Amino acid sequence: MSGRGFPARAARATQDERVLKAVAKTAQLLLEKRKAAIGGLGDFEERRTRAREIKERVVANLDSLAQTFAQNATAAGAKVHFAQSGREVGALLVKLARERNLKLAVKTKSMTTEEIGFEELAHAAGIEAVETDLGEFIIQLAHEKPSHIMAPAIHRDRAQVGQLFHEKLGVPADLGVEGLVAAARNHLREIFLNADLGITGGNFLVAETGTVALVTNEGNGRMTTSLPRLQFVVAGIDKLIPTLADLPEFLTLLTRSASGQPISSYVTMVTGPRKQGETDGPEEVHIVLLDNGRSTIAAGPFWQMLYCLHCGACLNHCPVYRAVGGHAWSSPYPGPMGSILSPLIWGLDEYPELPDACTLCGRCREACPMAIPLPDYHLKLKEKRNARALLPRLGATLASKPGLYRFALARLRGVLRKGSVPIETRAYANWTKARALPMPGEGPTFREWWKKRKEGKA
Amino acid sequence: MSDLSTYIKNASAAGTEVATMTAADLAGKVEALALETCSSTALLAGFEKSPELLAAIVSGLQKAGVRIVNSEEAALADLGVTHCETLVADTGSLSHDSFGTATLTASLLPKVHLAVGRPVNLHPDLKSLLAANAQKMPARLALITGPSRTGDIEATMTKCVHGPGRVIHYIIDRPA
Repeated sequence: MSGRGFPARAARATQDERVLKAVAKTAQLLLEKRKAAIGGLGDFEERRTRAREIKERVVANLDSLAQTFAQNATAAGAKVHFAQSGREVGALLVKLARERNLKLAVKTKSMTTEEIGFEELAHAAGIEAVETDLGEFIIQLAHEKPSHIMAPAIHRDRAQVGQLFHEKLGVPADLGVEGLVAAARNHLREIFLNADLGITGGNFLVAETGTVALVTNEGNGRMTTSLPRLQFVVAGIDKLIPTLADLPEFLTLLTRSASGQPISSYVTMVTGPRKQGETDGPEEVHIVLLDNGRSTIAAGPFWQMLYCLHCGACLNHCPVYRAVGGHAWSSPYPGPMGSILSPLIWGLDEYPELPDACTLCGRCREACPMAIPLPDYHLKLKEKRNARALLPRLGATLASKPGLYRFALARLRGVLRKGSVPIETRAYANWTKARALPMPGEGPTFREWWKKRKEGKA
Repeated sequence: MSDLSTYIKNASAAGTEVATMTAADLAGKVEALALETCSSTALLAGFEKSPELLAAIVSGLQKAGVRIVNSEEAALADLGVTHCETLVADTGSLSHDSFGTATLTASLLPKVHLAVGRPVNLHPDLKSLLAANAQKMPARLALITGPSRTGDIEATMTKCVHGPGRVIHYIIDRPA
């Protein structure tokens, strides 16, 4: 089946039973774990109300919070950079790589780096960036894109991962899941010990102290922030929170929603580089505060998208996501949050049909730790798209100009009477497959008849 | 429930193997653990201010035939032993920071991590730990809650990805 667009990609995905099974299994498991963990809180509603209030203030004051963060991170010895786009991040990488002879990077999973196509930017700077999160490592080996923001290799089962490791790492093809994890550990350990720089995102940026908080379960976040001599952080300005006291609340909302854990195995808080007398950590920390359209989103009707913690709960709860998997979105951000965020970042022209990938069932909003009104946003975005679309605009123009309308109808009648319809789209073909297009009769139209009758000729 | 029992309950739920003991029991317990985990090398960090704990650990390791490596050989160690006095009860986390010696790498690189110490800084929650650090944040502050794990292949929970597959915590909570 050919075709770009969401419907074609979704149709392709639903043909692959293995993918669908893997997606459904993992999404369901994450959903159940989340349910138990959120239930364990007892006061989820109160907590998300409080968290929303904090984020409302953050989104209204992005500029000043970013400045506060920059001041405090700089005071702690980090170098803070502001970037409008991925291109600016790329330019910075080129400069750093040239000045400091950086070749090999280890990288943690980060949606923000996916968003700006970091791997290519690093490549252009002469840096090989190796993904170290197991899921990301798998898809990097397979030259694929992530299909879930929390579990990027959700679409591959253990046999497929086993075959991949066998081909690329030379390990036996019949390793179980534990063996595969051990193979990845051994392979990546060497790379960790030899890497020149560590690249991370940031789950939260604490303005008060200039701290970057990272959440991981595997420990690659700790390795990446401890071993290489330089750490490079790329984080969206939406990750800012005002104070350290706000951090615990957001951490637990994130990990409970994402994987059903009260806290992840590791939380690493990075405040500047290694200080005098310390033996762990890099000598240099660079933090890029990325805008890439976020200021525009903050000022527009979809500002609550910046509340998003990137936990993935809306994906696991979405009937459309569960039916077609993440690749159908063809965006780093799939699922309900992706259907809104992707057109906001890259434009509706790039993703015109994503707002349609929604049944308006409302489960995403229910599951969202920030209660982002995702179904409403789908509707709003659809309206926005339709207002720009050609066909409805043509109809509106014709309806408001009677002369033009009559002229256009007369021409259409002429074409139809000839019996050939110069339209060859799939929509038209689907329509006429089951229905006959009524042909206009040979006689005068009602208007023509009425006109003649008034003139006394009929 | 005391903060210490809350810590033990939550840390155990997260997969940390917690045991309480006297300082006099420590050497024997360390020896048994080294044998059980088949460790032949160990990396120690953070015991500068607790010479009596250090002596007990070294004696236990020596009896088990474990060679103690320095930080240049950190990547080769089978067992990482860190001095840990900072705990968070409601998350069941132990905490290491970059002040002082290399507890961060010793608790990360080996496949088995043993934390030993008196629960001197026992915080009821994360907010309390962060408040204690807010005036002067260390360059690195890490919370460790159970072993390294992943669910990235078919959501099958698997341990020992990049960090230790086992986290053991010997809490010295009684006088010898």
